[in-house]
Amino acid sequence: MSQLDRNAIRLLNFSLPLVFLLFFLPQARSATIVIDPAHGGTDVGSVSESGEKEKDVVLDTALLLKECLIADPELKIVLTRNQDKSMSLVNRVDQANSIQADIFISLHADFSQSDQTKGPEILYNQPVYVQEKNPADMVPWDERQNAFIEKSRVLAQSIASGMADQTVENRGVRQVKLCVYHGLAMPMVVVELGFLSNRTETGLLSDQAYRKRIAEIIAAAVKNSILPKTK
Amino acid sequence: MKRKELLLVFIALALGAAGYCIWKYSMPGISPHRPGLQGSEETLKIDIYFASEDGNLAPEPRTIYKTAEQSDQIIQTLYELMKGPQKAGLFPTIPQGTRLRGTYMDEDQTLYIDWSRELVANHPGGSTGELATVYSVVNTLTSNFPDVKRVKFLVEGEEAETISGHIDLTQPFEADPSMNKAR
Repeated sequence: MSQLDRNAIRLLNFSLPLVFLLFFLPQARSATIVIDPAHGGTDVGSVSESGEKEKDVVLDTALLLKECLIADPELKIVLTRNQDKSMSLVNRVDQANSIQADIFISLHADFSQSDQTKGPEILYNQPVYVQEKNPADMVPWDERQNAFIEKSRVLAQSIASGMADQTVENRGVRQVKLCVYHGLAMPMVVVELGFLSNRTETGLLSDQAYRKRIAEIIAAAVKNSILPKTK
Repeated sequence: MKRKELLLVFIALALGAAGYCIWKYSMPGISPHRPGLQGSEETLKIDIYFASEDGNLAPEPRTIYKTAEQSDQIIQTLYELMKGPQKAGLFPTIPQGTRLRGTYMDEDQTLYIDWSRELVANHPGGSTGELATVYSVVNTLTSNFPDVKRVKFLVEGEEAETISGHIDLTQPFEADPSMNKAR
């Protein structure tokens, strides 16, 4: 073996791990987050005894959540609505699917028949019954969320744990049959911020500082869920 | 008493009776038609699930007539649910003004319940409130009638997407015992 060959082998031995590192080391990943303030326009959602409307509470919290997330240059933040306007559930789902978003966070304020019920709760979807595979091997629109249910559960759990860590007493996570959202082709959660049927929580949800605190907790969980991606 | 006065008394009584009938039968959840109850003496103990303070469900015992047709027992059970609870700490789950339009059981043991539009229009919203409405019906029926495996909600005779924008009504529901536990 000539000196030239030996040098070539040395160069190869040195450069191969570099090439490997360049291609397979975890890379920072850009992601698109859709924040969905529920209701809006003529659909006011729940209304507290004192007149606080769900559509306003969730829009303000959505704008605060956007502020928390937009500081990260790797994240693109899209709101389904950034003003008080009516919007169908199907339009919200279509919007997120069309931009191939990575995460969908829907913000709601809860209401119960009892004025004693309290605490935020994080919901994720139950799988939709899978029809027989069609010849084209296409996933029907309303079965698209089925592939993301485990990731949605992990995100829901992460937000609930974040709340518990920050001493926000919450009701944990719950898997339910969410309507229309089963068409989303990405992990999704519904965050119920608290109860407008409970006076204490209505007071908290009317407080800008509390809304910001909740927005920060959700933002931290969302950032944690966007793990570095192997190229 | 003069003939004219007698006539006035008669008209007043007739108007009173008519008013009573209109008031009674326009009350939420009360139907003039209760089939199959004639001659029923035997009764059945059932549990009706209402919303509890923690936002879940808790049972309240009731008694219905043991009728020949199970469908009549199901209707009686739904009327008991629509009346609301008697115990303190429990709350009604069916919105005010909601009427039961009909029930139908298919061969797969899915019970279809057709509600009036007030189920949606008068619902206060919230996923917790919506879950309590749905599962108070589902858990009450499936726990008292083993033949009922699933419950499908209809509104004004048609499939409805949701009650207040959270829970999917397009598919039938099976019982969710986790709703009956205190959280």
